[in-house]
Amino acid sequence: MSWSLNEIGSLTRKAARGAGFSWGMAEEAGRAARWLAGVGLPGPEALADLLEATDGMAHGMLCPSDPTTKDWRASGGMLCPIAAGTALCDMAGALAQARTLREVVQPLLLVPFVADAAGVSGRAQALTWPDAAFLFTKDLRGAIITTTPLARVVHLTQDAPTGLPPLACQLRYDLCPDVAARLTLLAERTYAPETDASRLGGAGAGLSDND
Amino acid sequence: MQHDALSPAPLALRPPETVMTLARMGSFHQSRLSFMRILLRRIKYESWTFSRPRFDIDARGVGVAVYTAHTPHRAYSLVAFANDLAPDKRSDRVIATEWDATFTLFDGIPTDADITRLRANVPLQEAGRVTEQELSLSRANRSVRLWDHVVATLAAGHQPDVVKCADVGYLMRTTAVYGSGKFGAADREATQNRPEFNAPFQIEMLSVYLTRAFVMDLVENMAHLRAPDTAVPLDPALRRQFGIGNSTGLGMAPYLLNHPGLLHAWIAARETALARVRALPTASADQIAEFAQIVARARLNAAAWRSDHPAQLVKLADLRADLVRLETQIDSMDWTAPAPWNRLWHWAEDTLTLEGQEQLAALLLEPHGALIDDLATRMSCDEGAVWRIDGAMPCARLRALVQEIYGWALHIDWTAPEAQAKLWYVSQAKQEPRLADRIDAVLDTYEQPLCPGRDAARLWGDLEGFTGGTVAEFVLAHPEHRHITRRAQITARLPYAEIRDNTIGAALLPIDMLRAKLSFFGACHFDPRSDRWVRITMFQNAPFPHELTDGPADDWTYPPLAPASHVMPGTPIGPDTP
Repeated sequence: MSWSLNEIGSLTRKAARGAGFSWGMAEEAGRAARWLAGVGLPGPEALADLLEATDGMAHGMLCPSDPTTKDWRASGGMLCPIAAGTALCDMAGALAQARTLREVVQPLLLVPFVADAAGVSGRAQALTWPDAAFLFTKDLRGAIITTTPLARVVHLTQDAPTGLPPLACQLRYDLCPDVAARLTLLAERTYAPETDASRLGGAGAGLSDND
Repeated sequence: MQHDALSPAPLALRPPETVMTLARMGSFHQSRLSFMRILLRRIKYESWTFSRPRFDIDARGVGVAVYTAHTPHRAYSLVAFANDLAPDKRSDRVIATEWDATFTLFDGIPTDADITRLRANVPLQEAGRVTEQELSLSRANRSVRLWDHVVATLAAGHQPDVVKCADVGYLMRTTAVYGSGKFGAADREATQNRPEFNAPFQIEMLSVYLTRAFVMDLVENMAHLRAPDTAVPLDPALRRQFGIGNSTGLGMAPYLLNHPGLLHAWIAARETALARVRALPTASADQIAEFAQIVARARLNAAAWRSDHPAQLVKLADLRADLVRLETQIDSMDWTAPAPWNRLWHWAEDTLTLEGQEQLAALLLEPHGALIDDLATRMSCDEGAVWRIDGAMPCARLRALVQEIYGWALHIDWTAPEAQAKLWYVSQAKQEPRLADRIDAVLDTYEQPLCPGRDAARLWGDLEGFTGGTVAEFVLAHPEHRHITRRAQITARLPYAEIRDNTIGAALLPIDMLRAKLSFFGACHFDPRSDRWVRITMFQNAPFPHELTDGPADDWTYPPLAPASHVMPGTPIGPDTP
């Protein structure tokens, strides 16, 4: 089914919150999934896999344990691409030196953050792992051979891989019903179960609306 | 003091801590910069034309109609599905599943195949699905008080009771107008670069404007089909007095919090307009006369404004008394002294209630279209451009920002029950924002991030004990503060982005947030039906599409002093007549 990007962003943000992300991190996750969908890459699918793989795990276990080093690892083993991506983007101005990211779950989700970091810093950034390469300069280029559940090593460099195709923007995304259902299941955790009393009181029915 | 590109001197804009309180936002009025008025001015100066290529509706009021607006480069069509709704099914609540009429704004002119597809989806609203060819999705219900009366009297060859019509002000009210990619419709990104949709909510406003034309045609059509030999159309002057009603509930309130950059753009445009007028060194005799006339019309508007809500009754009494004081002041003040508009403004700040002050802020813009109407082009916001967190910012600077923006919240004792009496959550049943009393701890898990004051106070507390140097380090250690940190950084650049008030306190009236937003739409006659939902009318007294060619487009939001003289004889648009 064809989804608007607004719908993709909204569903993925709620799903991330449902999986235990803080609101600010859930906003980042939703924006990343939407960004990828907007260039025809399977961001919503990657996020669904990520959220299920890390469901309920604390941010502290999944984020880079020491971002001042060149080698980023998470204390819990798996590095979350949203936690690592936001950290990269937050320190975009200081990304002059190359970095190696270890054991990254769903590395595709790093891509929007590195694109933003390149935009913020005005410096070219290249992101590569065995099945994918991306280059962000004035334009956005890159491709994936196949989706990668876990990349042992992801390289963030200023070296430009050559021959990458430009990313093409699109305003719709065909989200398969199965993935939509998985994300919806997580998103539903953010909805409060409703009682008759809250239904009447919560929206404040007040006076009759049929006059 | 801020600089404004079109004015040589720095302009004194009202500070955000003055403007962005809930009580003041709940006193906002429509103005020249309201989205309905921006739309109608564009329709006029671009000479849009209108046609009604289809109107197949039977005597029970069931069928389909299409209304097309032809801009210089494109066409947009309102596709309307009319329904014969059983009275017991009629509800304005978002939990309703059937309506008297449902609509979509189609990008272009729909084919029969499009209509067939839309007929299977649009009447279902949220339960249906539209595509990128559709720009909005909406529905409306008849006014029980008025609909049958108007059909019956017109069918019998008479005009309806003028007093009854004035008491209601509309024949149908919309209960939701969805745009921006909702339920599969086109994203705003798909249309935002079209000049006609650059200003906010132009798609929604066009949809409602064409809906009004449809509703008036529908009521006349039903009268005609009921009694073809005796039925008469509405008198054109009376016809104009019908707007489109609207019921707006809690679902809309969080919008202002969820779009801080956009909120800033709206408020900054209006505040800049006010500052430009206040900076004028003199006032011409024509401007003074025009201003006095619009104030007199605002008095009529306030007199005709109906509500039974106790809080609104107090506000209406304030407004009416303020307008009398304002007229006296206009008559007595020395208009030849320097900066007369600014002196009038200062007098109002010292003398009038919030209702009167905000009404004056809107009225001062009226005679100054040439000076301020360009600001309509500044009311959009590329929210992505201000969204990224500046991680290089020192924590000391973030602390200073929190103090500056949320200082009011740092003085609140957040452990007191009244400080956090309310809680925003989203309901499972309709996935719409709701407000609960914070009595049941179970709901805390579901709390939405719609309480920036409380969140800023928590941020402040954790910043105090943080030893790291930059915001990047802080939010990595405290992901729970990422949301409010972003808000603080946005508001540092865009000072009107944040409501400077407690949005979860015991004293919160969500209708204040609703009124602020709806006033920017151009809504009039706010009529709260509880503290959580409000009735309004839209496009009341506005010219109909066929009247825009020969009449003024932007002189309708306050009722005319004398019986309307510029109303064109009724020439309803016919099939395929652009």
